[in-house]
Amino acid sequence: MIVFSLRARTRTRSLLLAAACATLASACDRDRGSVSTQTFPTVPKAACQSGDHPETALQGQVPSTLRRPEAFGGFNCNLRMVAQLRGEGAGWQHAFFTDAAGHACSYFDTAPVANGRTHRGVVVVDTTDPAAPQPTAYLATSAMLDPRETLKVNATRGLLMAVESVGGRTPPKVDIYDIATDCRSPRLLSPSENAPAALHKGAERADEGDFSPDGLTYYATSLRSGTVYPIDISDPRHPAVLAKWSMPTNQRTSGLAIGHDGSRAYFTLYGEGSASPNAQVVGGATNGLVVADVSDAQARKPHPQVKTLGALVWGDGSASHQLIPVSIAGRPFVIATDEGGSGDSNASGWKAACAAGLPAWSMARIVDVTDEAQPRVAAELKLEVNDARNCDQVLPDLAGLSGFTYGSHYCSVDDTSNATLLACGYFESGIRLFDIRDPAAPREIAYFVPPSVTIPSPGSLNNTTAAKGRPDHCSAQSRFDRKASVLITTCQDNGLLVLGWDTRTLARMTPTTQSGRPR
Amino acid sequence: MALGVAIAAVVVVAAWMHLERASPEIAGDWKSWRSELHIARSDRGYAIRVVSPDGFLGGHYTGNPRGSAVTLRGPLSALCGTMAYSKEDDSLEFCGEQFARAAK
Repeated sequence: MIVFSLRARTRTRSLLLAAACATLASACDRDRGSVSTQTFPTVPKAACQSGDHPETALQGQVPSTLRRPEAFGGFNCNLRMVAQLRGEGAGWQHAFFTDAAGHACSYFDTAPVANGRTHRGVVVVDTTDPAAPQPTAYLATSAMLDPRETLKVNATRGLLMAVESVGGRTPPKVDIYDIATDCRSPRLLSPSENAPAALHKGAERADEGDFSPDGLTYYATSLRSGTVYPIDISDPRHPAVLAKWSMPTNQRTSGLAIGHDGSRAYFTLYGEGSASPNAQVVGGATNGLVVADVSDAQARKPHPQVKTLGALVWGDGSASHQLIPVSIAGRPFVIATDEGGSGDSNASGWKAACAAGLPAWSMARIVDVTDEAQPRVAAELKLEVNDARNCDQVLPDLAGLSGFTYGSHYCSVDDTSNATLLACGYFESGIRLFDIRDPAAPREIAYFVPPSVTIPSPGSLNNTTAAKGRPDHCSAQSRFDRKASVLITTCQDNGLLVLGWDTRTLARMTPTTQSGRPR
Repeated sequence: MALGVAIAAVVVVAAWMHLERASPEIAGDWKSWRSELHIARSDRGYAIRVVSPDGFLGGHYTGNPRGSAVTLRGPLSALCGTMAYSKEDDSLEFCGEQFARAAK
C-alpha cells in the first residue's frame, strides 16, 4: 500500500530514526507507547527438601535421556502427590467451586475424541475430601463435549458455563449449569439439546471466555475471527448476544478477564513474538494485552461499545493466552500468560528465537496496570529453560516435536484480592509454584513434574506421544486450598492431581517481615 | 569525537526537519469499511479521534508527522504506533485498516 516512491525516503527516515534513537532512546520509547523491551532474569530456583526428587538438569527441563518409555518418574520439590484421579485423562483446563453446603468440586474438560472412552465431556469431581477425590457426574451436552477453553465458573451465582467450540454449529450452543445448589450434581439451566440454537446470529464458535464478576454476562472470544461477544446470561434460559466486537485487522484474542466491578476488561492480544517471520512482515511484535472499558455492556446500554484505554506489547513471547487481574500488596497487577515463545512453535521457530537471544518457550509475566494507559511488565516468570543462553542444552530434548513443549499455559493465584502465591502449568515443565509478594522479584518455591505414563489416557490431549516417554502436559488452572494445604490441578495424562505442601516448609520458603513483605 | 557527534546530530535534525516540512496535509475526515478518523491540526501535530463502534480502535490520539507517516500516541499506540499516508491514492493506513477521505 505504501507507494514505492516513498520507500527510499522511508528507509532514510528509518536510518535517521535509528540514529536519533541511539542518542535519544528514552524519547523514542515514549513515542512508541507501551512496548516492553526490557529483559528480566530467570526466577530464583526453589530450594528442595530431603526426600524430594529435584530436577536433574536445568530448571524446567526434562532432559532427553529421560524421554524414553518408563524412564521418567517425575520430579518434585516441596510438593508431593496426595491423591490422583486419573480417569480417562484431562484436557486444557480446570474450574472449581465450593457450594453453600461446603462441598468442593472440580470440573475439567477431556479430549473430544470418542475412541476408547467410557465417559466423554466434562468430569465433575467431589474434592471435599482432597485425599479422596470422587467423580460424581460427566457432562456431555454439546458445549461440554468440547468446551476448549471456555469452561468457566462464576462463584457469585454458582454457574458453570461453556460455549460450543471446534466441532460446534453456528451459531453455537451454550451450556449453563447451576452448581450453587449442589456442585456435585450440576443442573442444566440453558435450553436443552432439542431447543432452537441458544444464541442468535452474531455468535461464533468460541475458544475462550469468562464471566463478569456478577455472573450476569459472559464474554466469549473467537480466536479464528478475532472477535469478542458479550452474552447476557441474566436469564440462563434465554442467553442473548449483546454485541460483537472485532479486534484490529489481523489481530486475534484468546483469554480475557473482567475487573471486579464489571466495567474494566483485560483482553489478550494473541500476537507474534519478535522472532516470528510474521512479526518481520508487520513491523514488529504484536503480542500483549489491551485494557478496555466495557461498562456499556455491563450497564446493558443499547449497541454497547468497547473503549480501549491502553495496551502493552512484548516481543519475547507470543500467543498471549490468559490474564488474571490481581491485587498485590494493594497495587493492581495482571498476571499475563503466553502459550507461545518469541518465535514460531516448531524447531525452526525455536532456533530463530534462540538466535535472537529471546525465550523460545512461553512464560508468565506480572504486569503493573496502575497506569491503565501505560501498563508495564514488572517481572517475568522465566525458567532456566526459557533462557536463550541455554538453548543448546534444551533443544535436543525436543527433537521431532512441535507445538506445546516447554512453556506456560494457565496460571492461578491463591487470592485475587491479595495475591501472594502463583501456580502455573508449564506443559512439560509441570506445575510451578511462585512467591509473588514482591511482584518485581518473584521466587520459585515448589514444583511438581508428573511422571510420564506408559499407557496414554484416552481422553488426554497429549495421548499421541505420551507412550513414547514424553512428559505429561500440565496445562490447567490450579485451586489453592490453604486449609488443607493442597493444590488441586490436572495434567493431561495423569488426570486430576492433589498436591500437598508441608506448611512449615512453605513458611520457610516464604519468610515475611512484620509488614508482611518478603524478606 | 564530541565534534563528530555534534555534527551528526545537526545533520539528523536538519534531515528530520526537511521530512517534517514534506508531510502531507491529512487533516479532515476519513472512512474505512468500519471506522472513521476525524483529524484536526493541533499545536504540535494532529489531534485524531477514531470512531469504531464495533471494534477496539476507537479513542483519541495525538499524532506527530514524520514524513509520509504520523507517529501516534494513544490507547492502541503500543500495537499501532504509526499512521501511513499514501500519496498515490490519497489514503491513510491505520492499524490494518485503509481509510479514504470522506465526502464533504
